[in-house]
Amino acid sequence: MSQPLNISSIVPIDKISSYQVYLKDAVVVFDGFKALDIEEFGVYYNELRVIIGPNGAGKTTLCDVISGKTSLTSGRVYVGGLDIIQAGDVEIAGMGVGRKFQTPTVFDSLTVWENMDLALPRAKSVFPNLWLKETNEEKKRITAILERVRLADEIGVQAQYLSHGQRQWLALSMLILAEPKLLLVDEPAAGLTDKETEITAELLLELKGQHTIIVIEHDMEFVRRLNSYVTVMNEGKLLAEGRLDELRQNDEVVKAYLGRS
Amino acid sequence: MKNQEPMTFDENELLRVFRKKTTLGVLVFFFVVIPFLGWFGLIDVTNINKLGRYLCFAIVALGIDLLWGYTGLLSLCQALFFCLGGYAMAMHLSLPEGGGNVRPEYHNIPQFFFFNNVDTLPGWWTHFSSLSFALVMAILIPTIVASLFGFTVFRSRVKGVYFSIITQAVAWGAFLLFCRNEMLLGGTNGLTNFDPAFHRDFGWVLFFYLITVSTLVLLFLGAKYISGSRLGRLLVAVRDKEMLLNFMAYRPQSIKLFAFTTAAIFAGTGGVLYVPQNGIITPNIMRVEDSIWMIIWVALGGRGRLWGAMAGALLVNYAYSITTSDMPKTWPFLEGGMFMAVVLFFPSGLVGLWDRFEQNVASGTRVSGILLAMAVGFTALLVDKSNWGLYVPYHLTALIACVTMSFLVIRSLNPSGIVLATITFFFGVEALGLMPETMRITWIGVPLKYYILFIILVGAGVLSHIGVFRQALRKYYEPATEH
Repeated sequence: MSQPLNISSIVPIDKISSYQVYLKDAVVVFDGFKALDIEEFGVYYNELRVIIGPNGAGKTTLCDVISGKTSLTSGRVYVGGLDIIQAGDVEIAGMGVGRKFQTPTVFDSLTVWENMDLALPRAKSVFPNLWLKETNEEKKRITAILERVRLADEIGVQAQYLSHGQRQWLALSMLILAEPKLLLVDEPAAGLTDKETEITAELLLELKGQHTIIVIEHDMEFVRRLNSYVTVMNEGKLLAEGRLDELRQNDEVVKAYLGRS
Repeated sequence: MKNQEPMTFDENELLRVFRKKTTLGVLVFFFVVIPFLGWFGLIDVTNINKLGRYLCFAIVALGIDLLWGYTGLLSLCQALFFCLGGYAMAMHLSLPEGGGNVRPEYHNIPQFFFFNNVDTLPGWWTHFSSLSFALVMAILIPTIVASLFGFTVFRSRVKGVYFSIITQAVAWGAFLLFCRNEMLLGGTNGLTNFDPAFHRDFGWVLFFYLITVSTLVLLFLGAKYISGSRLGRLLVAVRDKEMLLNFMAYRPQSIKLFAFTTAAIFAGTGGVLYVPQNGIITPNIMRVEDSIWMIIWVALGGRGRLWGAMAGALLVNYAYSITTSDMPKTWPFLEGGMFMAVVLFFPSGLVGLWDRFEQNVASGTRVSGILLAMAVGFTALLVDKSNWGLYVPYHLTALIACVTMSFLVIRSLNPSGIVLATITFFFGVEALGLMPETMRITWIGVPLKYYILFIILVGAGVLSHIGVFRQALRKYYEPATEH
């Protein structure tokens, strides 16, 4: 893909290095429709950032761009100071970008334990996996996480037989287990009960400070509980950024999003 | 993860013992019973030879199961890899060093060269006079072809049905290529004139049979190890949700390439062992149809389970062998019918039937009878009736076997048992030569006995779906666990 030489797309080096994720003039066009049009967006190292916005606001497209699922029509993306325009999804994942999808995506015919086992951060090439077994420490880590999300009794159950909430948790546990530098968490609370939502929020808050986390969420109660910096998106653009309380005062935001609910 | 299966200890223990015994029984049957019955002349050499050839197909089926059952890749060119292995072996066997039948009037080289106006052995053929070179090539060539083809196809992220179509095109292209005389591989006539002792002399036949069984066991253990390792989980993960693997930093292309190459190696190994036992190899065996048949073996046996693939290969080929002698023209319909029946009624194939059977075992039902009946039935398939009389009164034995079998069938009254036992009983009676003449009356070319078999099987299927059997079972037969 040819990048038109554009003065505004030359990014100052200090911006690239101070952000874990940095997008500049990022545009994604699907069939003439601008799904994403961001002038500048950055998430600092070890920050917990929440992105909200109505349906079709481009939140998931933003995640797709960062994780390499979708490539930019024009503009720049940097992850950990590196330009990822040329990188594929596997390379980006190898750089420590983990992702949980909107619909809980796990391996259906594998058991909970086997799903977790594959998520372990270790050799990803073919042959080492022929003989590598999980170490005791890894086993302990898996068990600890599964106990937190109340899946410890289900380790032998195939993921296809789990309930929706359990699948959400399994997907999230796999993400946490992989210890990525950057976590893209797409709607972790969708379809969870209040109690389950609370535990999920606690889990994410525990990770705060050790990993950079981008959470996309609809559930305002959940967003309030995370108590972090919030970015509001609408129609592919960034609408506003700030604390949730401040945003509640913002007329534009209320009009685009909060006012509806 | 065995201890984490959601099953009570009791059931697990019963099943574990049962599986151990069954495995042991099968091993004894193939390694001890058959060679000994052959030794005493009770099993004809041709039957051992046939079993040996079918076991080669089971090796191919193992590979297909890894590729299709586990990884979800439907390859329609496995017969090509089978032939690549086979041809390398056949080249060695058609040279004098490999026991090939060459004659001075044809310049002491394989005869087909003479008809292609070639007087001296081409340089690349001469290397195949060494057995070890031929064996290495037999494995190396399918490996290289599969990895090159797989690398390009998977790298360009060709998926699903498009992958199947490309493999089909490759199989067809290779078939056309091997049919050319310029290839100096015998053209459409293929390679033959090997030492006839390989498929006629008892010693050689038994040798190849035992080599095949041992290879099958070794490769089964290998495949089992792969499927039990993390790599095995990755194979299943590719089938389930390839896209997610990308985001976990795995490379699905490499995993698929591994599965494809492994399956090709299995197929090549099957080909190597098949050629001396078959006595000829022609490009006809690498047609797309043959690859589809191989897929049908695995589908019928049950994909995603290794022993199911092997059992499927044996079952379909024996069904082929028996029905084609009774009614040669109906086989394509029968095979299609079997495939449809599996798709519609037993999506998990023979394995699913066996699983239901194992549930009975786990709940304490005694099934040793059915297994014994099956073993007797399978042996009866192989036994040479003319020699049987030398050792034991043939008709008396046959009668006792049949009565025992029917008794056992009735005793273990449950749908899966009925189906398994009916098939066994049917082939057993047939092989023992006890089928009444009236059963041979044909209607539209199909003997009466097949109609009866069909009705029993469909009946059992229908009844098991309605659950009538379950009620009948409760009335007349109390499972041991309820005491």
